[in-house]
Amino acid sequence: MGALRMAWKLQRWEITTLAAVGAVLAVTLLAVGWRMESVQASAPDCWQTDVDAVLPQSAVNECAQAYAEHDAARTIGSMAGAGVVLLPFVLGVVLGTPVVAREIEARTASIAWSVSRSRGRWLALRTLPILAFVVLGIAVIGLSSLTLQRQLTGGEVGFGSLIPQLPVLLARGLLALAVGLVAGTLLGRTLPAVLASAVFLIAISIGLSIGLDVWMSAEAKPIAELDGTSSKVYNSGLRDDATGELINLDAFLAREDADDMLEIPPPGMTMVHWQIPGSEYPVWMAREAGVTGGLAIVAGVAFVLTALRRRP
Amino acid sequence: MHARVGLAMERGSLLWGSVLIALLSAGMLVTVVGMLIVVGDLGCSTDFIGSRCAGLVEQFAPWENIAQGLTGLLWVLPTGLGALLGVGITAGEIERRSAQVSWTLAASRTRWLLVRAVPVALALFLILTVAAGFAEMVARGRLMTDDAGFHDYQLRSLLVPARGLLAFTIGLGVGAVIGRTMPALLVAVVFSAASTYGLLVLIDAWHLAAAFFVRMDDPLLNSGIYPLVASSSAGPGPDPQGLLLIPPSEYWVWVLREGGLLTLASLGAALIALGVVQRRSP
Repeated sequence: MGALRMAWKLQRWEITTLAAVGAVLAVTLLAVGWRMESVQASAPDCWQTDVDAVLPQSAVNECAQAYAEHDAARTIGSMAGAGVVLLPFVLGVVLGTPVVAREIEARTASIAWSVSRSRGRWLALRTLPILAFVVLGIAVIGLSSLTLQRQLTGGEVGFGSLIPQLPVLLARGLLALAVGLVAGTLLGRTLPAVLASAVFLIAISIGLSIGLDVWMSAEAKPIAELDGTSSKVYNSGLRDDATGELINLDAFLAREDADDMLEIPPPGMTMVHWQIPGSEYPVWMAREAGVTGGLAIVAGVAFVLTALRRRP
Repeated sequence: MHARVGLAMERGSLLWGSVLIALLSAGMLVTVVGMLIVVGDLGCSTDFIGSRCAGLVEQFAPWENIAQGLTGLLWVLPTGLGALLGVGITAGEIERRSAQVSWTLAASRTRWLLVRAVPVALALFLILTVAAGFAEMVARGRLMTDDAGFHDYQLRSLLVPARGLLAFTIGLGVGAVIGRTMPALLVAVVFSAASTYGLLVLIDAWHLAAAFFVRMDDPLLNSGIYPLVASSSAGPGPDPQGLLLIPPSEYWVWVLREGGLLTLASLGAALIALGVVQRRSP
């Protein structure tokens, strides 16, 4: 209880500001999600999936109005969705960097570390309440975004989703917190540590994104049908129906006779796409969460080691 | 001498800010080289017509996606970096409790603020201009042209450092009011983002008022130039589908207008910051 009160007293301004921003974001996510859902529910014929169905003339104006309202809500929803993607990084860095950096900057670390029973205990008492707040904040925002997410993707869970699943958001928040703690401890100044954390997090995110992309492209399979926006497509090609031989589209188009063909694919061949189907999205989300969480643990261990050795 | 003091006080933030921009610029340079290697000297255009160019689409697309992602960071970086540097000057001084000494020793608080803020503002302007320059190269590489017109112009022109300076001056004011760095940073980022968004809405309305109607079959739309599309619109006449747009020849007029608006807003925010610093107890 005392640790909670201390963490609150030292970071009450950051926590209050972040809680306010998070509350506005959560309310926006819920309101926009429900708004899009209610527009769809009020004119269900406008969203029928039968592509051959023709709308009666009387419904055209009603649908135009409904589409306009749905699109307006979608624009706000996309911005709020970008906020959900950013929030774990903001929460982690803003709450993580000052824990040690502010004590060093204010020259109070020597007193705080001397009067504490051990430095490890001091670190645990200061870090664990922040960790709990980060997890709670991300969970609330992630759960608030579910209705909107369903609306943005048309109920289709897959790689076209703007907002990643909750475990990935949580893993990113923990990674940002750990990187913020390490940067704050090493630099001993809060604002430069925020920028240093941003540098490392951008570099790690780009590295992770490229690494996952390479991994996914290696596991992509040639499938004839394109699975809407939910699958991740890497390459296209043609399959010879008789022999089953696969040829890359680039290689096929570079052939001398390609310009003379009247249609692609030519008779006897089928167009295929190397892709990861949308049904495998949860598996890849779990893998991403696992890798990011692993990096968070490594950064967390680095924080403990540097904080235990650092001079106040 | 004074400039050196101003820069020395913020050297940590300036150093890491420069590292951030340097990495971003290096990333953009790599993507430009990647795109150049893919298209070579085949003379392809963005529609990749012709069998030799069509085969390059899938090799070009990943580089283009990375380029788009890196350039997109310039929507948030100027605001974040500007607010952080601005907050560091005023809130940092108050939080360290050194304002009592430095404000008393300075000839005036106005002079103190100018000595501390102007060199940092110049450094911020310089590093963001470098990033905007690399974004210009990316736009030309993506479009395979020497004149990218209005394509992504808010991410690759002088508007990038102008947005950074607006956030910087807002950061100065918010930092002086709140007096604690991290809460002030969060509030300054929110205010700066809201101000930038408000100005974008204003400039969009101005674009719309100044744009002229062009039918979809107008040769201007297929001439390989990049006008500013204010809106797709139903215009007058029997075939009303078309676009409201501003031609690329007016590029500099609009960059200067938008830059002027941002500069005016920055001056306003700087005056407010000065007023707060004058009246605040250290």
